[in-house]
Amino acid sequence: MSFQAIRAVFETELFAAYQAMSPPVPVMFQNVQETPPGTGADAEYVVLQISFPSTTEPVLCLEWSNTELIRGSVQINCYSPRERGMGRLENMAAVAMSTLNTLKAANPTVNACVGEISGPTNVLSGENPLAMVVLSAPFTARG
Amino acid sequence: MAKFGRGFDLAGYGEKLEKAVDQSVSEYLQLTQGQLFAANPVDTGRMASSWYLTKDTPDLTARSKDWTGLQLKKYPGKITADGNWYIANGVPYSERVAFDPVYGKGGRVGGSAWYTNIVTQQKTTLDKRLIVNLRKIT
Repeated sequence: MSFQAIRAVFETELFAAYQAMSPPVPVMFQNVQETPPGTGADAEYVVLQISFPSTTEPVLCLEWSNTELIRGSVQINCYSPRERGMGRLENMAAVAMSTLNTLKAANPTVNACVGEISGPTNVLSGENPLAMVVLSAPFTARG
Repeated sequence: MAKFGRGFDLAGYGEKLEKAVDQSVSEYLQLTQGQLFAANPVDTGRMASSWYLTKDTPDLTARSKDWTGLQLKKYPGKITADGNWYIANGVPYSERVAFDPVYGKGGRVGGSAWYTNIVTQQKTTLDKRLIVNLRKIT
């Protein structure tokens, strides 16, 4: 069991998906980049957060002794400049949604099954110079 | 009265079932409200103390602007499985603090994703409470 293996699937697939956008969107990972790439008028980026709030559960399995099913939570925040419409933010959200739904096939060993995705929730209030949409979902996986 | 395997008694089963479901929903809602209260980042404590549990209509009021301190407002009545239950927060900046990691950095439990950590696990939380209480039926 490895949390890193699970995290790697999410980070690799989402990073590749955002790099395929035009223009590519920087992705911030947990405990890697401490500050966002920018909060200026043209800044846009994605913050990916993976948590394991419900630790582990035993599953019955003949082949893997002490195999554990990991319950987790993924949150994806997409930031884009204000006053430019919702198109870019919603495209970024759509990339996240479609990628999350393909994670299971991307790595059958980790078998990351993403549950019901909440969002994209628009957060346009507040003093942050960037508009934001957020998606979140529970998942199960085997590391 | 008919008895089933392991001494299971059908008498009053409906009532026991109803009680178990009520108990599960009550525990689940109070647990969730407590989790939100405990995880909410704190500056003055206004937002953390403004998670209100209500029945049928969300309470979108909040503690006063000059509020300081941490105090959980408990639901005063009995919580049952009927009706629609809401856990709401009426602080104007609550959405930002809940969703934006820039503002949610101080999440006391669960880090900057404290809110979605709780919300995404809701089904599991309710399932666990139901399993615990339904198993108690004899």
